[in-house]
Amino acid sequence: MINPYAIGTTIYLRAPRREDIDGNWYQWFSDPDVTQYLADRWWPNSVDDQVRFFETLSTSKDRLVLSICLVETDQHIGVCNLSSISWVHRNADIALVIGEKPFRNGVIAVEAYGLVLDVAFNRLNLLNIRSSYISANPYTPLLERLFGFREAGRFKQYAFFRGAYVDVVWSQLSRADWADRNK
Amino acid sequence: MTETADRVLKVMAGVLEMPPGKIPPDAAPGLVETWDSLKHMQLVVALEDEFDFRFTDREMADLSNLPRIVGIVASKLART
Repeated sequence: MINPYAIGTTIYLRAPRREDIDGNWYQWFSDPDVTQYLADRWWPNSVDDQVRFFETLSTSKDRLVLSICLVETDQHIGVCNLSSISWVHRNADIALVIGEKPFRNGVIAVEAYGLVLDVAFNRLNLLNIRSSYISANPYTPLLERLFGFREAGRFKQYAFFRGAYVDVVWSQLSRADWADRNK
Repeated sequence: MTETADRVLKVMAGVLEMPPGKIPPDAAPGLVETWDSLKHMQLVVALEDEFDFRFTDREMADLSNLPRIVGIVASKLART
């Protein structure tokens, strides 16, 4: 493992490295299979865009981006983040992308989500995690059901998806709910 | 086969939409064609509903194949 920050069974999380950009990282965010349910990925991504994004990470105090890598081979297969971190209110937004298609089998996503939540609650001492997704997304509601997120509300017909307007769902997981399920 | 393993297999068969007898003993994503990302999450939800418990984050991370699933479910049932 290279510079592991959070270690699971199959995967570990680490700080992104400049070398990650030489791999497939930037291409994931142009791939329609990967981006179809993401909120703000309608423009193609490029190496230059990815470099600019990468260079913001080391100085950002309200966004923690972590690369998802395989324990066995160190292959970089995805990325996850806590963003809009409020150190006053102790909350943040969560997001996860498994970019490498052979690993988009659900098992990796579940393990990665658990690791990010552990970072959020046990290491950053956050109290609430917020998530949003379009109602056409079949994956995120199931993932959040497993981790105990509660729907907080929705904006009706708020996002454009494949020729129609769909709802945007907001959900929330409190540290208390998370701790209760993991005791 | 234990009663627990039999119940897990029936849940899995329903989610993966295949007869229980066609599910190999080492079934896992990649080995069973219909076991994709969506089915995996549906399977975990269906197991929680069937056995009326919630998996912890650590347990969910280990639900990566049929033998592990049976082992974790049996262990949880033994503790309740």
